[in-house]
Amino acid sequence: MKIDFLFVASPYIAFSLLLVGIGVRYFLDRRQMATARKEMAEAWSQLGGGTVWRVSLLLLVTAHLLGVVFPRAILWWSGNTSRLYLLEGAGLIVGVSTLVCWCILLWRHLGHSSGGLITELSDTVFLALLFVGLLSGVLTAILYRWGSVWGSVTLAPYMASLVRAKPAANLASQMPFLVRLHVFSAFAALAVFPLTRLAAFVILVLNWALALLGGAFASTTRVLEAWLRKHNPGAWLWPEED
Amino acid sequence: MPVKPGMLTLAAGPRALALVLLLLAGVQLAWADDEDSQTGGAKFSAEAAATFNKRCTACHTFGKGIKVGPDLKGVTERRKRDWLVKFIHASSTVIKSGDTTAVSLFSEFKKQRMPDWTDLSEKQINDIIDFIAIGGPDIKPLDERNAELASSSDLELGRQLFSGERRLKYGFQPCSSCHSVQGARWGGSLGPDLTHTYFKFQDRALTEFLRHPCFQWERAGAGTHYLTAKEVFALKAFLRQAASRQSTHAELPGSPPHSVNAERVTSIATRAGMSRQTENRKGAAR
Repeated sequence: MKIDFLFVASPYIAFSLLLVGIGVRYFLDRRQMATARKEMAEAWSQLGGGTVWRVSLLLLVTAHLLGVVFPRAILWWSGNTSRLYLLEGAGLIVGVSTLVCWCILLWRHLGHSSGGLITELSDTVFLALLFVGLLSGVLTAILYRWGSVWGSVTLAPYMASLVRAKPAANLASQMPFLVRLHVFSAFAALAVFPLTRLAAFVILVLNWALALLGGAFASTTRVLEAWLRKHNPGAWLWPEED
Repeated sequence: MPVKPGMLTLAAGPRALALVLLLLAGVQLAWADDEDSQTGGAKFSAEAAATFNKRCTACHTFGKGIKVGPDLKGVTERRKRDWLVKFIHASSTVIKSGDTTAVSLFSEFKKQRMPDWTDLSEKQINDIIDFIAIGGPDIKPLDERNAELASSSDLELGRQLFSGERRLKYGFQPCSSCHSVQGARWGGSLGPDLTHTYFKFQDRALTEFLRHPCFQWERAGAGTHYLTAKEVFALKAFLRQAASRQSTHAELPGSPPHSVNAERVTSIATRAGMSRQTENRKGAAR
């Protein structure tokens, strides 16, 4: 039952909350993008951190995504001992630097409240989950060597099974506690994300993308209308009598 | 242009190439067969073995004395093949014909006649005789051979398979992805250190263990295959070597060998634990 909730239901609940949350926030904020921009600026000043934080976080997320999407490529890479050590070593360095940056970031902004209670609370929960994810990830890399290999044959197929809507929970539930914590904290962070100030970034991107789509649609309609006026199929069908 | 001996003409080129490819394919097939062979190179028909188990073992033993009929161990040396074929096919006819061996066997075994296996063809009977000749039920699968019998090439193969220097035939990940062994390449640490596994679980239980995947690994088109018998044997031999090395280092002068202790102390306890783990892994694999 517990396993079913943690590794079967919770990923879908988290993803649904993410989609619904972002959708609701966009619906509420769509006419006041200035507020979203302000919120975004606040989030950036408080959580944007330095270059090292941003780059290492981006590298971590990208590496995890690549590992899930291309497990065979990762296995091929790790098939060679030197490349395996390089990947695992680099991963550990990036993980540790992200964790250190997170601590510095939180220390700087501790007690600097600038938002409402819900936003502050959700920001705190999100950051706490991020911390749990980072710490469990770093400890996993230290205690359970060669995560790039065993992760590619256990966790990547587990994620693929979630996408295929046939969750193979035992692939994740057989893992040590730290690995399970790492996976679960990622799902929980996804669920909380729409309530944080960082979600404003997604709202702005969504608004920009929709505006772009709307613009493209409008210009296509204009071009089509002009073409129809010029060629006027009605005139061919019903030519005016002299 | 005159063709010199040994010179490959343009017309002969593709044919020669095809021949070389065919030979290579043949070599490859033969190797694949050896890799998957569970019998340590002894070739016999699986159907013959099945027929032997189904029809012969009810009345005959193999090396365990008289049951209803005579012990079949060495029967191919005691009797001529032609006679055996005839007798297996229709013993009643041979006895009626007055064959002295058949008649004496008939009286020796309380005039209990062997059933006539007229439904078996001559080839099927010959296959059964072949099976008996090469050892019958005594033939052990390759991976069930005791790891003590491993050669240095088996040990080297085991080391390479464990560390991933050599790929497993069905594309599974090497043991070192999750496990380590003292004295080998720096292995993974997700799973336990396997240095003492051999003495902990013993030869037979370890064989059974290695026949099933650790996790529900993503099967790269391997179907129901996991490790070949050769790979299981080589890995078992490598683990035995690792355990022996370690126990040699750990033992004090004059103390009984670790392997003996392990056999005595852990054989019963670990077999229970081992079968439980095996079941768990089978469950996970399902």
